[in-house]
Amino acid sequence: MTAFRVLLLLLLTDIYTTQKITEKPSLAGPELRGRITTSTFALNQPRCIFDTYTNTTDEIWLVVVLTSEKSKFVNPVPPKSLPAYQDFPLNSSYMTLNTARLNYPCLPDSTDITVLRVGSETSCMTDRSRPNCNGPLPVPGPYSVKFLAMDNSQPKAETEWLDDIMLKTAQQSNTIDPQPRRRSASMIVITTILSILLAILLVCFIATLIYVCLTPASSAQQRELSPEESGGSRRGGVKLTHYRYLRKQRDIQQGGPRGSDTL
Amino acid sequence: MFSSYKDNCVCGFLLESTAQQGGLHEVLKMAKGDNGVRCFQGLLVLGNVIIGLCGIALTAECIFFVSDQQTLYPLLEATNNDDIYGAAWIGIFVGFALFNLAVLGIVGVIKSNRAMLLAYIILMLITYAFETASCITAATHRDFFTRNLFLKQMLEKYQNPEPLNNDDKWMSEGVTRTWDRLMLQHECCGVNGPSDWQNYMSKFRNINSDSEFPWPRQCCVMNVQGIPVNLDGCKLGVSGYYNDKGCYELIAGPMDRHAWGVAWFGFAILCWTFWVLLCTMFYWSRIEY
Repeated sequence: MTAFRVLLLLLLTDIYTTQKITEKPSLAGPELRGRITTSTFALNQPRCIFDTYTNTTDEIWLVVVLTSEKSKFVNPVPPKSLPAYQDFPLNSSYMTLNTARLNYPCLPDSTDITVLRVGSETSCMTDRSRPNCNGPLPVPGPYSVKFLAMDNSQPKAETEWLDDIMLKTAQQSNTIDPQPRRRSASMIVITTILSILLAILLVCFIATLIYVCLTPASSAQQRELSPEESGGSRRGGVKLTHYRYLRKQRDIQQGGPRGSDTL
Repeated sequence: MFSSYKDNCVCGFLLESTAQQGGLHEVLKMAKGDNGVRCFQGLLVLGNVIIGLCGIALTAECIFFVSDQQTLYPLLEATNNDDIYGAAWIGIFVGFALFNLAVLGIVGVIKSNRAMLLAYIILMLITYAFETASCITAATHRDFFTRNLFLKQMLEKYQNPEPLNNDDKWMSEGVTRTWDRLMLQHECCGVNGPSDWQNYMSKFRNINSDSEFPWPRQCCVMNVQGIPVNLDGCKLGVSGYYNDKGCYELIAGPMDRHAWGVAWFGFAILCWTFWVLLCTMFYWSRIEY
């Protein structure tokens, strides 16, 4: 009887021992820009991992826990219910993304991107009728995950934990400093040269005004042009008097007038 | 005949006296003669012709900039720093004024009219001052357009659900419209890239959950109906289904051209006008009453 009980105990223990698989879950490759965001992360699908330990109809679950509470997690056996997403993070763990193993076919040469996005469902976040909701992660982490294969709610096989998945944290936008670090060289050149030119022009203009005002018209012969004869026109002083000046010079040199001199 | 000879004697006497008084100064001026003055007048006319042409070119260029072909003005308006547009507006009027003053200058030089040239010099100085202001403004305010400025503005105003007042609402709508158009038309996302939406909190993030919208839908590659080709691929960031380059170059490029176009072309015009004005002032001082 005792032997029979011992055998029964051994059999029962065998049933409840979960097969430990040495593989770990892995994060999706870095070529995916959105593999870690502030509330989601992407894992590679667990293809070809559970093939030898499970049937195609067994369900493969993802267990998500906070790394700090990882040691407290035990694989849930019936009648204990699975930890629900809606109780996270109070419960410090939840299970989600359950799917039959036949949805993870082993195709070793496939080049498709096969990922699981943890946190992509927003519609069931508060829906208690869906405890396996794949809702967005509320805190930045760090998280630990593992895959757990279950057969009629009995844990059958599990992978190792993947630890310390940190999500991105967003900074406040008021930490951005929009001021330019330094002035550009072009701006300095333009400002200094134009200011200097304008100043020079103003100084020259004032100097010209002073020069013109201080040399009155009566001593105009001190300037380059000889005075017009009285009654001469006021316009075009430059050309006319130069011409007159030259004519007088020529006449004097030749020692006498040539014909009538009407001016 | 006798009277004219006497006139010449009188004139000759006057000449002698002036020659004694003027001395070397008169000899030099006598040597220059009529041709020098003509030459100088020709140079001034040429200078004014170039100023007139440059004025028209400046007006045309500034009208082009003010017309804002890329419709980036809402972004500037939201920064409360749209002074490069002010500089372009000044440029329009300065160009027109330069053209008119150049015509005035040409007429004044040919007629050697003192009043005209004085008016020309004074008005030109005023126009010069305005154009200097325009160039310095354009050059200075261009420096403020950093990446961080547009990043902060995008995060705080794009799809802002709760604007503070009417002004903020207007600016937020302008920014949203402009960014949507930029991201769709030029196939870019954010200022530096889609990671802007992840690295910083934003008004957009306040109403759009991160898991559903890691970045706005406009960052996804769209088909002709305006629907993302592969929404999951876009959310995951699979290359080919989302736009991963930043839009900063597409904003800074036109604004740089705008600012430098106004500033440097104005600078060139002013350097030329400086010499023409100096020569005109010299010429003016030499005209007798």
